[in-house]
Amino acid sequence: MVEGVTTFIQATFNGLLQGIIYAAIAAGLSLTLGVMGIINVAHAALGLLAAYLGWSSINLLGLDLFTSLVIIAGIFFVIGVIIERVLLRRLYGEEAWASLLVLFGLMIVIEIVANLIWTTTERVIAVPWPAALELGPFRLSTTRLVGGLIMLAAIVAVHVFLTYGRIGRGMRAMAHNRDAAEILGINTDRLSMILFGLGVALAAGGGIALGLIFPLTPQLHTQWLILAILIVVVGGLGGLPQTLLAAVGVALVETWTGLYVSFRYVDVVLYLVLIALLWIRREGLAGSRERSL
Amino acid sequence: MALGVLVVVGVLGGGLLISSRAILSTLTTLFMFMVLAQAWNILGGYGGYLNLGIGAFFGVGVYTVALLEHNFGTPLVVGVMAAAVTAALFALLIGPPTLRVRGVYFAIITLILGFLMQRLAFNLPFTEGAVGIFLSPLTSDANRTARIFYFVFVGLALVTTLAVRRMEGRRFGFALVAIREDEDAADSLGVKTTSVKVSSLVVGAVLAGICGALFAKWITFIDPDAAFPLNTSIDPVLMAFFGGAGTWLGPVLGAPLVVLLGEILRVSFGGLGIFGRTGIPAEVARLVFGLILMVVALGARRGLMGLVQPRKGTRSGV
Repeated sequence: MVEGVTTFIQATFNGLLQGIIYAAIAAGLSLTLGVMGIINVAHAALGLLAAYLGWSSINLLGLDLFTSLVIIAGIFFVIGVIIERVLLRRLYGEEAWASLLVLFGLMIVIEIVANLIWTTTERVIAVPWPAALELGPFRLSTTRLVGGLIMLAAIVAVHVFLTYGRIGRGMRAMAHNRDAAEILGINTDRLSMILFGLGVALAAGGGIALGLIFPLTPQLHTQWLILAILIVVVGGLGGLPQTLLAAVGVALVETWTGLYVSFRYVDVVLYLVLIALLWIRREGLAGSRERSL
Repeated sequence: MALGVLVVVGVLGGGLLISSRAILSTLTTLFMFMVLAQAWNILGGYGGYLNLGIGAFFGVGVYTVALLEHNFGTPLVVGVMAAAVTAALFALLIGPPTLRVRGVYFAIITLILGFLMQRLAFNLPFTEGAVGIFLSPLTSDANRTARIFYFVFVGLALVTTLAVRRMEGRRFGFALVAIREDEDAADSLGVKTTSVKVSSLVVGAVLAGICGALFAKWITFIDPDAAFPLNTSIDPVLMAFFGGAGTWLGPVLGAPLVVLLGEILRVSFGGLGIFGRTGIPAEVARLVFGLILMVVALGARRGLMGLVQPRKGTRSGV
């Protein structure tokens, strides 16, 4: 009985930390969808690419986790800016599927590049700490703890930036009405670039943190993408706190399903929840139906 | 017209004369993908609703035939009909809720659906998971079997293309184009938009399901990777866009171009090492396809047909 309780608390706490890591990758998706109305299907693939770069930088170059994380997130901010400027900018006036198709192509390209460079061999990011932290009767995963805390800090920082900064106010105005924001003197082109860069940088950070807890394979991004979409659908586009809450919820459902039902049904349960939610929330996700005209 | 007859005669004659099984197999794949591209084209090309998971319907067809034969020894003809029915039911299940909503929702749901079906095939108790299912070959003579499947897929491609061409000038085709160009206007002019969209999804799903059913019997071994490969979802989109989405000729031009390009890439990169690795031809072809998809989406989005028929009029968004 006591052992059951211990297992539950331990699993729940690890699930909680995993949820924070999920939130990082979902937050970027939620930002770009909420403000720019673009569902970045290459989002998780970019995160996976960052995770692989993290693996190379930590395992091969011997850099430490924090340095790698900062450098790679910086690089991916620039990559995001370039994607927005080169690929998406010219498609704003077009139908939504044009940008979706471009990002879909990008997703394929990234997956293949990852496959060519890092092969299908599982890659595990090496960390210098012991795998678990003994805390009385509980065993906590150190990678989850470190990854979770860094991502929590990152999410809080982005949230503060978006809530109180001048750029953040501009972005919220843009989310409500891009044309009106432009007329009122907001440089929406520049904001879109920064925003997309921020989204991709979050994907990179989240990807590296996920790389700490899962072995990397080139097709893993499809599962991450579905997780991120699931979290965005559960949390809505209200803001990062909701995304964080939704991510933790999803991770706990995942943990408890694995613990009490069966590990092989985790994906099935999550996907079915997602499809059910997409049906239920099909009009509520982007706010209202009119907004997506 | 004369050119069309010439092409058909060439294709039929080729099927009789070609003795290399490898070439015949490539051509069979080509015609199978032509059917898939045409199936995608109805809702995706004419209707403008991006389906990124037509492979899910293909896989449903694959597993319907495989499971029926594996468990009950059902003959292929019955299996194909059953596959058409299951694919249609599947489309009816996901079509109405997703297609009632505008925008990119449908694309996202179909994308997820493709991933989901593969995970289900791995995890459900009755699909044999990663172990896979062996089917008996259609005939004992492998050459004869290869030729039969070639003609079956050629016939299917011909019938599908003619049907789509006929649809182009009919009420249904005009309704789809109206939905693509301006769904609100179409709706207000009395087009039953949801029912038109769902019907085209079902027709496309049935075609994909039939392709999958025949494919299962053709390759005789089925596992989740064989039934739900990413390329059955991507390549039809690429072919339709490459040739010209929303025209009956688009998939007819696009399918050979993409298959040909794939073969050229396979041959020319087959011996080369990239990033110090050799023997990775399939991935390189896919990489190039991904790049082409991006370019197509960015620029000449109406494909080769767009070069022939310039787009009429311009639209401005709100």
